[in-house]
Amino acid sequence: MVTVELDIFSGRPNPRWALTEREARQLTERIRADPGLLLPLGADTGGLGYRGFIVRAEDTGMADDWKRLGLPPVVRLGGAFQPEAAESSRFLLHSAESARLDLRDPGPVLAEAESVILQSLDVQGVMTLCSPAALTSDTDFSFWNGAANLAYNNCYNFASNLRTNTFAQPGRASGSMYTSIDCAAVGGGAVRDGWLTTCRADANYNVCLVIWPNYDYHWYRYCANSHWCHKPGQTAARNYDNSNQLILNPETCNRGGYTVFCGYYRGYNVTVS
Amino acid sequence: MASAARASVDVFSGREPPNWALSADESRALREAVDALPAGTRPLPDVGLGYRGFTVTWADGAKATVYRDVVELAVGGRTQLREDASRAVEERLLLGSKAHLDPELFTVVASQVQAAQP
Repeated sequence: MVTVELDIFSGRPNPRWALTEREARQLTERIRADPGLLLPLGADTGGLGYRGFIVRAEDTGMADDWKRLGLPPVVRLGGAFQPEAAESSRFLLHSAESARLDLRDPGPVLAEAESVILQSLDVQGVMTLCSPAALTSDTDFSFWNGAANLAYNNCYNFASNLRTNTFAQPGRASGSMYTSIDCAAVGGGAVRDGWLTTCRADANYNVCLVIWPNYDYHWYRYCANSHWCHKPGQTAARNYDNSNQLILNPETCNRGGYTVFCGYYRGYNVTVS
Repeated sequence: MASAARASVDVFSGREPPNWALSADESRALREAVDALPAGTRPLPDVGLGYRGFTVTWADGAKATVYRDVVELAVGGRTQLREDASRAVEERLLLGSKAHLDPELFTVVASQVQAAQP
């Protein structure tokens, strides 16, 4: 069993809950993708108020992945001084929603923690959009969703706004496709294709890359009306996430197993294949 | 009679779906299993990212998409919905995929099949 303790109180016992098997696996995937998320138990993560999470892996089957990674049984994650762990901290915080907390009213406590986590996100300033932005419709996806094209174009085609019918792969057009599934490798392939991490002066497709660690990648593209759109594999292009919610922020939307947010890229008329 | 077939699992977004050839016996048995299913009314759900089902494409052009208890069979230009209450076709495809998928990926797919929402 993997348990989570929200380190927030001074006098009262901190709220604790157990992760489901799926949540424990997702947490392990996050750590595998970025082991720097973890801190020693004694690390300074803030004073009074939210200080991050203490994660304990106990000796049962659900902790197998944890042990396989060689992680210590008790670690810290998040806190006031670890903005890079904000997304994983929110993931852990939201895992409390389905757990039965030993608090009369956990709402204010969780809201306080979320507020501090969100502030750290602002400090990180990840979400940036380049202007002038090249926008396409956030509701009319007929260009992508016809029977002749649906199965042959993927998220990278959609992000590039280029229908090649080749299930385009980052780097393939440049002759050097990614060779592993992580932010550096897949993002590097995209850069070789012509995507930039800086803004263009003329026009910008604002896109972002996320990773299902070791298995797959996915791209989102900023569309009209401040919505983010995407095309999951062979399925229809859309403007909503795995919770059927319009996507206003790809960093926080429901991305299923694509738990690692890599960052933003910009390009226009990029050739992919 | 059903001809040879290929199966794939729709689980990725960026990468191509893993696919593999089915033996002649398995191709025939799967087609018979699909043909024997009663008609259904529910369409395939719109899942988004993650496991979205298995697909079997026979050499005669017939194609079945299988997600939980819903089977969509396209044959001869017509699409029919079938209901597989026991999820036996999906389970059969999952078990058959084990020999063709990377073991870790198989474990992930199996857990997502188990957790798949109606």
